Amino acid sequence: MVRAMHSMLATLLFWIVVLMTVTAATFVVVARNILHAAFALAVAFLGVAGIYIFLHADFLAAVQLIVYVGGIIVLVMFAIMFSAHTQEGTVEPRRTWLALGGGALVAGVVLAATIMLINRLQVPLAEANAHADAAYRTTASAAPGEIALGHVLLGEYLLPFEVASILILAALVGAVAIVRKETR
Amino acid sequence: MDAALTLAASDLVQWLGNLLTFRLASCLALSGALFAIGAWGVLARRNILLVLISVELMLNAVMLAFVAFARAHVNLAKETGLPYAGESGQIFALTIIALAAAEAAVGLAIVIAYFRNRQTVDTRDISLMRH
Amino acid sequence: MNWSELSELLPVGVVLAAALVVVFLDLVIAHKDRYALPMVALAGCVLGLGSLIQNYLSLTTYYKQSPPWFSGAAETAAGAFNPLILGGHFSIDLFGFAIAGVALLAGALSVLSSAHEEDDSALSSGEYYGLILLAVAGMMLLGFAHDFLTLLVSLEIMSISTYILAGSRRDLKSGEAALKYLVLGAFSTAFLMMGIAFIYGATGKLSLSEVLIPSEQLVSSAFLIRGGLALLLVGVLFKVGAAPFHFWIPDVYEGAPTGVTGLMATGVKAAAFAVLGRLAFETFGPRYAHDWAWLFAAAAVLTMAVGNFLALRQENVKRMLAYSGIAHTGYLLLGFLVSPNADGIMLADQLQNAVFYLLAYALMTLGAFGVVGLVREDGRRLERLEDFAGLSKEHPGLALCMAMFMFSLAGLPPFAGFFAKFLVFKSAVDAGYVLPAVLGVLTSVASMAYYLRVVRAMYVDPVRATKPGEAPAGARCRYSWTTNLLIYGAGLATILLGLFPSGPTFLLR
Repeated sequence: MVRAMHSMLATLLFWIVVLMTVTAATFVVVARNILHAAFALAVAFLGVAGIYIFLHADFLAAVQLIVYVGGIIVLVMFAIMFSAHTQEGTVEPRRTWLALGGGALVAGVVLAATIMLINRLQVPLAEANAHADAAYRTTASAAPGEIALGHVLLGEYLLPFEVASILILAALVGAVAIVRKETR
Repeated sequence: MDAALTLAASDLVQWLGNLLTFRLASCLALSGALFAIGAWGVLARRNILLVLISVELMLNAVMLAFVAFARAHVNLAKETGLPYAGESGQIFALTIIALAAAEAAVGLAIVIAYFRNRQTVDTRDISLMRH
Repeated sequence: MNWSELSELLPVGVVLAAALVVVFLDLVIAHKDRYALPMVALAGCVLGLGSLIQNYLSLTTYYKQSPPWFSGAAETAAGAFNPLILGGHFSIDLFGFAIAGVALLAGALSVLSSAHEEDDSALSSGEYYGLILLAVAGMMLLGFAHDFLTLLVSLEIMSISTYILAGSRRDLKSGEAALKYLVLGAFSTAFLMMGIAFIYGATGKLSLSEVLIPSEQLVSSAFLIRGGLALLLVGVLFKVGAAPFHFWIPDVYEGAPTGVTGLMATGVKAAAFAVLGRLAFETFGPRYAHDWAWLFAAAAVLTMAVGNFLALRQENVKRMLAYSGIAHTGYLLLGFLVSPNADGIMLADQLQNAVFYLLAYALMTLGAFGVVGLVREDGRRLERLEDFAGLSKEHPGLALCMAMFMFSLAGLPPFAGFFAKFLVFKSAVDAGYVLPAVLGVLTSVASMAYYLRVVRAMYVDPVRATKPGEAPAGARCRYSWTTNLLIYGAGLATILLGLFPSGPTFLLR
């Protein structure tokens, strides 16, 4: 009885987070004030982090919070403040309904394609999901923990992980190049 | 055409029915929705910063799909006794976070450098080379 | 994982080390010694090429045979060559060696064509050359990458470096090119990643050669694989600049500094084709050719038509070369059409033809962009067709080379471009795609119109009347021994490769 209540509450909470994420993301795309859009983006990122927790990806949820909500949002805010001297700079100039409609059409097609894909997938995912709920109800330790993740990251995937550091190097050198271009 | 419509309609009904039952399918649906909203933003927004932000939404959708699929593979592995495939999905998502952060940093730097030159972030003004 | 196999990636390490050296050297050397920076970058590329060839030769002597063209073609017999190394993340096969070689060549030549820039330009800074080397390292990794994670990271290394390089000149056009490249590049990468996510979801695998092996537990998800591959293809066609995803190319190529344009048109394109080649030959293979080859064929025909038709209308030579690059993407796509009943030998032949095309195209395009980068007046770049008038009288050597590049790009014998086109058309016909190949020949004939316009401007058109106070006509080109080296070298290679098309294959024995 208590367990069923617990599961129902979790489901409710899950749908609240989903709704929050979708609403915030939509607001990012339609908001006229750019600062409002950036705040909505933070909410959307938070929502995605919440979904990660529902999916037992705790470590990723933490990284999402630190990098996205903590880092990228600040970067975006900084860029907005920088590129908007005047008040009207933060409000987007005339938006054509044609572009909005065309974009919405493309988005609709993408969404419809995803739905069809997911439906074709029902069989394996349904099976998987029965177990997901079972795992969810029994113990949380059944999920792949941070320890297992760390072992794979620094074992099997160490090389791609190290290659990613070259990417950071490129971004670093690039940032210096852009700044130098300005000052010289 | 009629058959296709019926198929699409039955898909939709089936999807709505499943939506409330299956958590993993609904995560994928959320991922698809975020991806679509992001693509919409890239096509519809006029401010180049918001275009970049929309790309970030799309990348978040990709990460969400990876994590959801990773969970599905963990569960399948438990059921079938086959080796885990769950961690590689999470590691892919982690790598995408690193890629997205680097891309955002470089992208915003390029936007700011451009703004200093042109004093505009409107995509309609970015058309010096039309012939 | 066997860490001693890391030595196979030594060429990449050499290039990365050179990138770090050139960035730090800029901080310590005096301003007047800055000419040393491109030399260090060039040395990095040359050493990388040397190390690549050394790796290849030592592999060949060790196994007493040359590596297979791609890992799927490897014999699995005991003692035979297994190209998959480092836990399957990289594949040391001939295709990888060839792509890495083309990337190093493109990097070296674009360093040469940038070395004549002014002292105070952002283009002469250590970061500029460091980013070129980092982009080259990304391309090389992309050539060897054999799982989706490594592939994606390498692709991003290359892309992020190129975004910044495209905006490294201090004018509005360059900044605009960087912005456009960034937004459209990031947008296409998102599609590519979503495709990979779907494929991972369907199979649970990330290795390029494994994902289509039907996994028993998820047999019902073939639909998901198809959707994933479709998204993946959209992303890759975007990166190679094939129609209908070609629209970003002209603006980005025109706005970027000419040396960077050369790198984007050759190295970046070769690396993107490495992804396409791995997908077409290893992931889809002949088994899925019915599903995908027609799509490639349609994209190829559309790309050839669009590129050649729009190039006819261009007055700006750099922009014309950009459209010509789109057209050449179409010809290259013809080389990636896989026949459903192809065997390993046929696939290897096809891949070899495509690689020859990439090499020949890299040489002639970099040479042509080198000439475009040199033609200038009082430091102002002149890129329009009329600015090339009378070049043959003032700089007969440069004009001769430019004419050779144009003939070669048009596909006239005896230049390298002729054999390159002949080989890809032949592979398309052998694979059973006769109609796309015929259309390719027709568009290739039509393309002569715009290539010959450049030749006519240089050799026939009168020089513009010099207004009083204008610089004498003879001073139109800056003198730069590095760019001259690039142009004459590429010109010589274009002829030699055309006269002895089997020259590079000599190395394979």
